[in-house]
Amino acid sequence: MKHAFNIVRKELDKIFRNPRLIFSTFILPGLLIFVIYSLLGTTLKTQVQKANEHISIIKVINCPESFLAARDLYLSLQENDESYLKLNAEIDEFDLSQKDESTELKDYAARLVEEGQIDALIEFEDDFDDKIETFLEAFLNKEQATAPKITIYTDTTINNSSVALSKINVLLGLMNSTKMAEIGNPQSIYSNETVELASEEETSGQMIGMLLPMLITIFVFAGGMSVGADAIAGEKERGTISTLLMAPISKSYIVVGKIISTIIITVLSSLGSFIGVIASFPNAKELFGEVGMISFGFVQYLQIFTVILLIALISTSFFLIASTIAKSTKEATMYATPVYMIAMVTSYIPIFTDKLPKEIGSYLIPIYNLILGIKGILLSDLKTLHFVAIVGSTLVYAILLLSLVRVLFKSEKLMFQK
Amino acid sequence: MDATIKVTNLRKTFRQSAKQMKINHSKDKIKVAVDGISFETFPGEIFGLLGPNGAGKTTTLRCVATLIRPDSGDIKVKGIDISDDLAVKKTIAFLTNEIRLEDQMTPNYAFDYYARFHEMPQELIRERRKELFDYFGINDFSEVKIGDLSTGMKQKVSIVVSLAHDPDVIIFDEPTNGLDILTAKSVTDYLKELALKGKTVVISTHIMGLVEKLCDRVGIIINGKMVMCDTVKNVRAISPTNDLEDVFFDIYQKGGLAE
Repeated sequence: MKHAFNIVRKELDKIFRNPRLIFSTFILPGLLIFVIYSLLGTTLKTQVQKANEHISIIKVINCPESFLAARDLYLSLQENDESYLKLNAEIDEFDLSQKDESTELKDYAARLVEEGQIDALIEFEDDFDDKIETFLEAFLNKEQATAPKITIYTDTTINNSSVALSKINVLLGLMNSTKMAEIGNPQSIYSNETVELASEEETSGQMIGMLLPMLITIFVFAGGMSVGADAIAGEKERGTISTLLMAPISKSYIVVGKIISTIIITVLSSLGSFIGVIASFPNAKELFGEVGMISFGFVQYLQIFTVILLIALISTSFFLIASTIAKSTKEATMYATPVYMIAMVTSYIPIFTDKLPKEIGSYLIPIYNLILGIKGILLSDLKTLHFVAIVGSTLVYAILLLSLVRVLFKSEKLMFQK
Repeated sequence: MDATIKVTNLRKTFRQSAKQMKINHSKDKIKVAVDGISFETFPGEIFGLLGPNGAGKTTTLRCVATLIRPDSGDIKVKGIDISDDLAVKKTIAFLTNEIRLEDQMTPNYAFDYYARFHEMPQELIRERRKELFDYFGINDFSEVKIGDLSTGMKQKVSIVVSLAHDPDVIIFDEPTNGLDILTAKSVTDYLKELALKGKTVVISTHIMGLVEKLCDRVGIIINGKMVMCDTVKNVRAISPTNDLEDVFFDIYQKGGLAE
């Protein structure tokens, strides 16, 4: 046992006698988790707060008294019991006079929801309350009758609209149960249809739009990390870097050679992961939800491929810096981990946000801009200017990072340290 | 005759970490590795830098090989200032035990890979490879991964790879370190052959016997300073015993007293 402890002591000394390793092994992970969870928590809290505080603008066509009564009932219930969530909804008659005769109601509603002028639209049949009475009478007389119809227009890819829909459903449920209590029958007194205002591409893109940026980022970063970390630190560790530095070639060529080879391996490795994920879609519905098929055009495929290349470029640039600073591949991997974790967290952001930001600034933030790019392409919603901003800014960042690698290459201490 | 290497007042310092200062029992943050060394080498000669470990031999050779930059002083290789590092690298081969090749490469692959950096045509690469592999007896191992070769064979492959471009100046840091007696002999024989072909060979070593057997001239470096530079014959003649080792210890002790 004495010998085992001798080994234990040597292994522990390896870490505890190296301040850099103490920091990266014990302090950094905790620090990162603290920062990441705090950031995620704050983002989520702001999102929830924003959704709760937002006063839903619900417009109604042929608003029946019973619906308003349901709203008032809810408000009085909420007043007496604080466990009820605030309704925070403005329910008004919809002004149809602004609508063009030629425009379909659905398209018109879609535009208003998209612009944020309204959050949802409900259309009740004419004389809805009277029709309910007739329906109830027929029911009591055991005669056949059709329940009056309600149509709800919402866009579930927009947070505010989807929150408004749940509020409407609560009120309709309340309205139904009040009436049901009158006749003592658990049957629905109306037929209800929810019309999705978002296009099929948008709704199926919504799911993939949340999922894919995360998967792509993880695959590309994970695929490139070991190769990138090894690119220079590995040569130092194996003592082959001096052989390479003796070659009569500019150090820029060495950096460019390393980056191109790392990108190729990264892209190929992430491609393998992708094929795995796509192949698993039919068997993994519980995991990913129903993923709709999106038909992409050539330009979209080209854009996606460009963004993947850019992610590989930027991740490789970061990894090469870590690899140049480190003495060994293991050390390089440790230095690269924070960048990997930041990328992972950033890739989760699209899950908490619905639409793409409009201002160009967001498309200039490194890594985040690429994740927005993938989401935008999947939602068929990415503006050309934004795509150009993503490509341009990422290239500039990569050039800056790689110039730094070149400067680091000149450091005798970094290249020949033991 | 024009000097192939001309080193004038070379000075190189390193910044020491707190740990290194403790190890070296020094309070100075700066360690002077090479302190005003000057020497010249000529075609067809083998020049040796002799000195104990840490004297500054490797640092001097690394400066000449453009791997590190001197703090001050001039170095010219075949008339080219080392500021033009790419041109200098084309004319020299720099070998040390630290210079290794990737384990997963085969000798054939490694030779071609490094030779291509010298923009040699494929035909010439093939010719040089055949010539050098034949000389060092690498042919039977040309497709064996370097990681699987013996230490001696690895060293031979390293030598061959660094000589691919047929350089005029060959710098070899501790050429026989870690080699068995047979490999060491084949290496020193080849260095002699290179000198006979008119190449300049510069070696660094702490082994007196190697200098006596191999070198035409020797520069003795102690504590970063060149304390003597002459033909091996003249240096030996200083001692009544005509023994290089005696001369070296005598100078070393005097140097130690002077310190």
